[in-house]
Amino acid sequence: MISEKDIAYVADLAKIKLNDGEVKKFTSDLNDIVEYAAMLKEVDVTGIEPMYSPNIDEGTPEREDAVKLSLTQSEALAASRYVDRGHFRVPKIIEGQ
Amino acid sequence: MKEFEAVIGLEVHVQLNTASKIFCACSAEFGAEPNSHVCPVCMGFPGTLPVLNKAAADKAVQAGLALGCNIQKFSIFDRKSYFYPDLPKAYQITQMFYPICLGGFLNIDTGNGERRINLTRIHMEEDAGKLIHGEGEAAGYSYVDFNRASVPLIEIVSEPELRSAEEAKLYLQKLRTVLRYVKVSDCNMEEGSLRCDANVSVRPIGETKLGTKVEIKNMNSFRSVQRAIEYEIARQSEALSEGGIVRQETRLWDNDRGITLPMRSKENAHDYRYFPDPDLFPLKLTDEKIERLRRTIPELPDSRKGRFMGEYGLSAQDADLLVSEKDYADYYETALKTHKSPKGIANWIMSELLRVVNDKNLGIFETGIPPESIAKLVALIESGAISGKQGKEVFAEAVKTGKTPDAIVREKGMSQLSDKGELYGIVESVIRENPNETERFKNGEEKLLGFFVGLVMKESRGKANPKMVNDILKETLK
Amino acid sequence: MDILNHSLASLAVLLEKRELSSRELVGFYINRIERYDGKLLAYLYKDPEGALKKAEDYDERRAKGEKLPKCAGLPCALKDLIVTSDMPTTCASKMLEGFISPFDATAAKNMRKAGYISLGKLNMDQYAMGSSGESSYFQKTANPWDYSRVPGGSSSGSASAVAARLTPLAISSDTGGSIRQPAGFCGVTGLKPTYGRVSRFGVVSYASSLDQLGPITNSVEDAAFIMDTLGLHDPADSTSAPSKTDFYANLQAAGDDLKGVKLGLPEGYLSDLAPGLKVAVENALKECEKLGAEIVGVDFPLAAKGLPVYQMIANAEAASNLAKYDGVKYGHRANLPELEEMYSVTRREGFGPEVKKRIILGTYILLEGQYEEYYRRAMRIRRLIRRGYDEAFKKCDLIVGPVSAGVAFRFGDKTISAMEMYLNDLFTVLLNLNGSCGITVPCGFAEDNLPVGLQFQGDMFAEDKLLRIAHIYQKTTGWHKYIPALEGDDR
Repeated sequence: MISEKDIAYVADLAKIKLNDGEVKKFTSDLNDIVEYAAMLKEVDVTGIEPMYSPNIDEGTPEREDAVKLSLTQSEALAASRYVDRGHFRVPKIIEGQ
Repeated sequence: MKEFEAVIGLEVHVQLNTASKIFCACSAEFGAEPNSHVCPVCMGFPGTLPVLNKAAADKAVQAGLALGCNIQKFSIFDRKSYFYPDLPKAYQITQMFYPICLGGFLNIDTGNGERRINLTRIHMEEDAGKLIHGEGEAAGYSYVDFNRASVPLIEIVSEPELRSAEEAKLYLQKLRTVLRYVKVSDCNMEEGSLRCDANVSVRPIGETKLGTKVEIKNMNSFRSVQRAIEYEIARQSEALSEGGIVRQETRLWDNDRGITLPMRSKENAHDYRYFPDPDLFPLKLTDEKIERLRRTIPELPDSRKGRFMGEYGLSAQDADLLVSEKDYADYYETALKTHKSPKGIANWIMSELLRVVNDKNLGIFETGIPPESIAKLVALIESGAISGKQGKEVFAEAVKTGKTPDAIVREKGMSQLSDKGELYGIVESVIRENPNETERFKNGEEKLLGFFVGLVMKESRGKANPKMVNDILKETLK
Repeated sequence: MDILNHSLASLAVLLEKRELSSRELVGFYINRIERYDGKLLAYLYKDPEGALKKAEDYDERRAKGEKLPKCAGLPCALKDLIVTSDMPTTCASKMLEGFISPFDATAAKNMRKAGYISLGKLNMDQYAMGSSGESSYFQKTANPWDYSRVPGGSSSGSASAVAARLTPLAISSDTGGSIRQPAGFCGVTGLKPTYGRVSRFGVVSYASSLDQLGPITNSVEDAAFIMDTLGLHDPADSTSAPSKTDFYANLQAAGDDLKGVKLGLPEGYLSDLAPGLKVAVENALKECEKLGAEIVGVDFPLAAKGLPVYQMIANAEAASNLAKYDGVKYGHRANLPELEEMYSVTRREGFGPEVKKRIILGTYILLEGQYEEYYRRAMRIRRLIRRGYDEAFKKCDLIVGPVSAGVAFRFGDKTISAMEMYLNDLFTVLLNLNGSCGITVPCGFAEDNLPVGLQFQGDMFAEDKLLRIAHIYQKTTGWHKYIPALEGDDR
């Protein structure tokens, strides 16, 4: 069983603020889904390697180490309203937070 | 008070010196304008995907080969999830479950002989961006620069086998030497291309169970690594001997105050939710590729030191110094090809050349004195063509002008007068012109030899070979 | 000229011969959009002026005798998760409201290079999460066959717009059926190519190991035609397959019958179907037999496990892929003075309830204590599902069956329970887990004159075979020629 505490913990990890009602609703929804997923435990997967991707048996391609110019500073910052002197501005971070 | 011993393991992040980043083609160069070496991929824009930089993978393998690791023919890139403004995708691509290298070791020279420190693993990962914290008017803000985001790193994890701060420093210095030998990184701690976190615990001597581990971060020089670990060992030992406990935590080194302080963090440990990155297939290496990379690994410092001692008769200390940078050792051996005087050349490199290298902050090949020149200089001195004192003059001139020793000696008319006949001539004329002194010498006033040597040197305008002058004078005055 | 009677290939020829101008063609669709989209709400962003300007430009250059790319002047539209630098890309979310990408998706670039002109961006379920289109932050697209019903999802706008002929083709994405299911609901053709066939670079990720771009069109022929443009290898996508550009040419040699073709029908696939839909699918099977195909039974031992496996994988990958929306670099930000609050309120406000739920579930699945039991186990079962497909394809050329258990449902109908909504994915998700190709073609109408889709599923990279068989079925039956009567504003 997933508890409301679990959901609150997960919501904190996922950085989504939830109100009490949402915590309750998600707890119930997730329990449904996880209960349904319990059938996966019936499957014998002994000796079966995970298939993380459809073409997983390929090796990852490698690109040559060449620099290509991409965005200028102003292009890089263009999609945010919170920019200042060439940087993205965020609320103060206390070192080691 | 009980005696405690320390158990230390290091996690070292090394920035690979590739031209471009690990998963995109942006420049990996240090020190550009903020957010100017960035692209949608390394900034985590919607729809972007990573593609592995071949050079990053090759350099990780080279590092592993140089450190005696088992290179894994199959490794997987995983996502490590956490939110932080310098982490654009809110996950870091790293290798958690199947790293590229396992095992490996590094030998360090402690005061009490050589110790082998085993490695756990080396894995590849991408760096995060850089945060600047506002001051004054901007004190409520932090600022993010993504230039460093996705620069390639390897993390080298040692077994907890180091026993002192001194050993930790030696380990780190040796690691730096080896990685610079294989040219995978500049390993510059000040610029952050080599970063070190330390896991430190203490336990009563004789105890086999490990004590509670504290992770120390934020050490920006070899010296601060040593100081921070020393401080931490003392702090933990003190706490335990006073009946206290050591909390498992992460602490930051405060270099100005010389202490470690607990990091502000939430009570619950992070759950990083590692899983294989579905945007990248596994990294597969063939035996051929590993062999090809193995052939690029030069003779490493341990082996080279042994050879310098055996083949050239150098002392352990001298050999250590000469193999501490691959360039030094290469320079030395190149010089030996011109003139085979292992000790003479070693002395000149260590005493004169490295002084210039350090003073001017130059590479050993950039001083204006190529290895052939130092060899030639030593040869000139050893043949007696110039004196040792003249040699230093020639050296200084070469540093200044970049001219060859031969040219300098020629231009300055420095070559020694070693012609016996000519020297006999000068000696005889000096004796003739000073009959009184000659008489006194013959009567036993031997300190007058210096007077005659001076006159001969003057007559020859300083060029006479002093040793020959001595011998001829003694013979003639007898 | 009746534009709607022409295939894309034929329109390209007409343009080439200057029997039709791009201005006329693009203008035709813009007129339809102006007339009908006000009620249909398929488009999130339209660029009529830009499109007409490009069309006129092609016409001019063509008049001068310039050599133009083969599809120069053909209109298209993109699902709003394909990023472009000329229009906003929102993923139908508040999070990306007004977001303009600094680069173009490879698919968009390839389309432009081939000469296609984009009419705009099409509505969808927010972040492609949903099977009705109802989770769009902005609007609910209607099903052109019945405006009180959903067009399916997540490619709601794509399927609806193609069915209503508000574009001749839409480039969409399919993670768990998002192309095939709405194509079925709207009576159009929807192709999900093999994983890796079409570049994912520039496609906003939902679940990276399942996502695949593909076309929604009015015919199999058009799907093959557009695949020649989409099927290029992309070095920017590590999972991209080698180029293939002969889909259309191969389809020309399709022949007229299905002799020697074995179609696999999985055990129990036809039970629990809505009555009218069941009849239509059974008739389609009979039609295939008439054409010479043999229907063979195939085993799909783990079919029932497909849905939970899919949920584990899709939600875990989604939770990770959607972590980047943190308010720092682009998109919505709750301007709060404390970092944790900034993050958690930004994401609370920027994501809709369905997206939040999936992120929460996916995050839970990836917790250190759950990872092995849920995510990794799901990935291991996924390999068993692959083996099931491999076994099936030893016995048959394609697997055939319905694409959904029922026809398009009414708005609001399925928002009651989470499970019920997910059940809609039942017929489609297995194919995404396997990674191979599949297609929906219209196969008739059920009660209330609602279209029914027939789904063919093929092996990895077996698009040629898939398209050939679907094409022969389609051109024989002609179900794709029916056009819904639209509710226009009568100006």
